[in-house]
Amino acid sequence: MQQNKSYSTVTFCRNQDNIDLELVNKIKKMLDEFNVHAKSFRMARDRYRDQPFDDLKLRLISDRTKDGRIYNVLNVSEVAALIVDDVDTASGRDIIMEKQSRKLQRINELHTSYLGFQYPLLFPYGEDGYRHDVSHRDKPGINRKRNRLTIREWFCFRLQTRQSEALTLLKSRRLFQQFIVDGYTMMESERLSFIKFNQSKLRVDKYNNLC
Amino acid sequence: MMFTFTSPGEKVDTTFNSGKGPPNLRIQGQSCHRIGSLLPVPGGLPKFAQLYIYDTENEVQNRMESLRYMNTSSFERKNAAEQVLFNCYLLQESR
Repeated sequence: MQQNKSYSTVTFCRNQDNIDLELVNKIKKMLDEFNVHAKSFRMARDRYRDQPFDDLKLRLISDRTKDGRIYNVLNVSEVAALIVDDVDTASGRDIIMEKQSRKLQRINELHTSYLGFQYPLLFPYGEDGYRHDVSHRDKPGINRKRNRLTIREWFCFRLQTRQSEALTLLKSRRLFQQFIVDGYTMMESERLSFIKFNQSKLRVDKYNNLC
Repeated sequence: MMFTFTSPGEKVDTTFNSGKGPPNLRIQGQSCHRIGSLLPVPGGLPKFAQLYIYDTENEVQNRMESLRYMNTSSFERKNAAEQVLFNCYLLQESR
């Protein structure tokens, strides 16, 4: 497990001795100011500093009520909530962070901030990654069975170069490589879960006894 | 790595990224992201999201440490492996 966790630094930070302190400080300040996730963890810190003995839990919310695509900058209350003591009924994808435990919990690929958590430098504002509830545009005359955006389509959209957009993602070298590999595994797990949840549709019983 | 909130759980093929040419990342098996608790366990170093919450007075230092700590551990592992190899070599010689 230790080996799994430490790979990126081992392989990617070849000259770890010349980390620029100034730069680390600047990025930290930038994230504190603009990144909603950083802000929500800071909120937990402030609360913890004031009342250190509370049994705090942090709930990282997955579902959004607003459409993130039309100039709605997220605020902290939309992505995280502090819970004291009891956990109320949360959506299945939400993450409940305990105060102190050794366990690591897995994050669902369909969590809206899945990519935002892992790549704060690629999503500096903590923007939403892939959302499972985005519908396709209506096209008159064409009636498609599936009208939701898939992860593959979202990544296709994300990896384009655009005149109006800075090339942060495409120029981030190794982080970009990691992002793409990560994206492909997300895609694969989406496909696998489709097969898992559509067994009856796939008429498994017809060829179940063949082998 | 220094600023992420979650820890990537992947098996990485480290033999792949050694030569010249564009950087590559090759993994094996199913990957996922994981997240731990708000505070590190007693005696443990803060990692990932915990860096945003725990001991924020020395935050920059902690962040640098989190990298360096991982590096030294891998370095030590490598050293240990080399030691074992060397011992094997000595054994063979003595026979």
